[in-house]
Amino acid sequence: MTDINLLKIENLNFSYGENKVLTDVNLSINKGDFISVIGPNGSGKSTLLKLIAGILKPDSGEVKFSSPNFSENASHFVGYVPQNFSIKEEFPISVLDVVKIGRIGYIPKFQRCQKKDLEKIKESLELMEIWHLKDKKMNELSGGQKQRVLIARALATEAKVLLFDEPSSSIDVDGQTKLYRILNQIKKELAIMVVTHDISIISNYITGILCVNEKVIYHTKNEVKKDLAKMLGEAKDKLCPYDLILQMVPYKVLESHWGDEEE
Amino acid sequence: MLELFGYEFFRNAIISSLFMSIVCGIIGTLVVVNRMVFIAGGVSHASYGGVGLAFYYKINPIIGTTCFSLLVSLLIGALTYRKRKNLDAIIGAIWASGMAFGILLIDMTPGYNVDLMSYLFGSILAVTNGDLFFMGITSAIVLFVICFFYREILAISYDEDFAITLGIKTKLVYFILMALIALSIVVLIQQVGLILCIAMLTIPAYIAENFSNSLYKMMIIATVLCFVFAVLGLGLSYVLNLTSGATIIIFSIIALVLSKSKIIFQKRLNS
Repeated sequence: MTDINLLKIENLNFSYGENKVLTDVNLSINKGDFISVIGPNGSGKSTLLKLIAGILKPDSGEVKFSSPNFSENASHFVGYVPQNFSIKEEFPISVLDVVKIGRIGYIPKFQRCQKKDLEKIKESLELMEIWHLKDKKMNELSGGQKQRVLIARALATEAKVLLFDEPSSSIDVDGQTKLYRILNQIKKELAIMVVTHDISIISNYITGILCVNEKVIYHTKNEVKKDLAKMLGEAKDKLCPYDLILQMVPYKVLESHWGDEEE
Repeated sequence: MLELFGYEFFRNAIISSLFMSIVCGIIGTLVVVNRMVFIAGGVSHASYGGVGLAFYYKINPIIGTTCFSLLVSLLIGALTYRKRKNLDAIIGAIWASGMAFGILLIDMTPGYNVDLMSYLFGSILAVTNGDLFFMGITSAIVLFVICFFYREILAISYDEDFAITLGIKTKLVYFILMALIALSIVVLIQQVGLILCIAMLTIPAYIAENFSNSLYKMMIIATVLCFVFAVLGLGLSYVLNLTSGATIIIFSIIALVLSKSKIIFQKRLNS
């Protein structure tokens, strides 16, 4: 089966002032990809997601989206789920209104939500199992519930690429398992990238790992198997590829990537 | 008290309070939820430069203040959009320089002794029919623009990063918001003066925040509160022969303290 390419990153560089954050990033994301983005603090993981989402502009290089025709317009193509703490705590808004924001662009000016918009909003909230909270104020919810509302908002955009910035930071282990199972179900129709410090749970679902530390190196499942099998000999048969990476993350794997090409 | 409605100046004061309330309720809500109080303070104080400019070149003070406030708001917008570094220092500098510029121009205006107090503390009882017309037009502009961009403003106010991913032109909307703040300030200068206009932009909206579960409800509650404070303040200032602008503000402050005390008391009761 041919891979359907959703976005391409070409020769991307980004820095905050004098501080180089990402250097010469090249990456291609296909439909069905479920990628865990890992790396130490300050390595550029969240920055990479913001560059893909169009929130930050690269110093040089491009992020191109397959629709329409690999342009740089990311509108509604990318669904971004920020870290929970970046949301204004006291803002007067209900759960339903937050998810409705995801439909902006679909609803004409001076018109109410159409039936299809409301159906999509309901579907997103039900998928995250929070439909019953729709009339609650956001500041009445727990951290985990808020996170699920933000995910529902991203789902409501009908984006082709979903970007999650540390969704596990305010969700317990059960919640994380449930979230990744849901993402695994919907990944067939889109691509998912998840920034995380803890890949112990997500490793069961992902199709690749992106190691970020100024440079970006992408490992597919097969690549991981081949590379690590050499290093570990017989042990390779006893562990799944992501378990192998897990044992070395973040220090060994990332250290070996610092400024070097792949071995 | 009812005999007051027989006077044109009082009727004008009530109508202008209604316009002020619409502007304060809507723009004040956006100032509060977007944490732009200091930015609004900078625009309002710097707009005093417009007053000085109008007197020096002998043009209509409303036109002078409107144009100057719009320029200052767009300058502050350009310097503060998605920048947090030295934000307070930049606004502080513009705040002070605008006021200083205004005072110097008034000093240099030959043979003119302007009543500075009316610009600092307002003159709601001296609102003319011409002022009312200007305030009505301004309120209508604010109302229309906010209705037109409501969804975009809501998205940006709640989560600007996400709004960018939706393709919303966040910079354009930010500049429109800055321009609306400037227009609102010109309306408020007539009512409560430069010094106190920040209080009217923030206090009703700050009280309303606790009783709203949506942005438009917060705008409506803040509008109603602002009108109630204005009418009560006007009435009391007439009875006690006090400055009307300052009395309106004191009413608002009392309401703010009472509402916050109630919330704190309720929280303690619940826990």
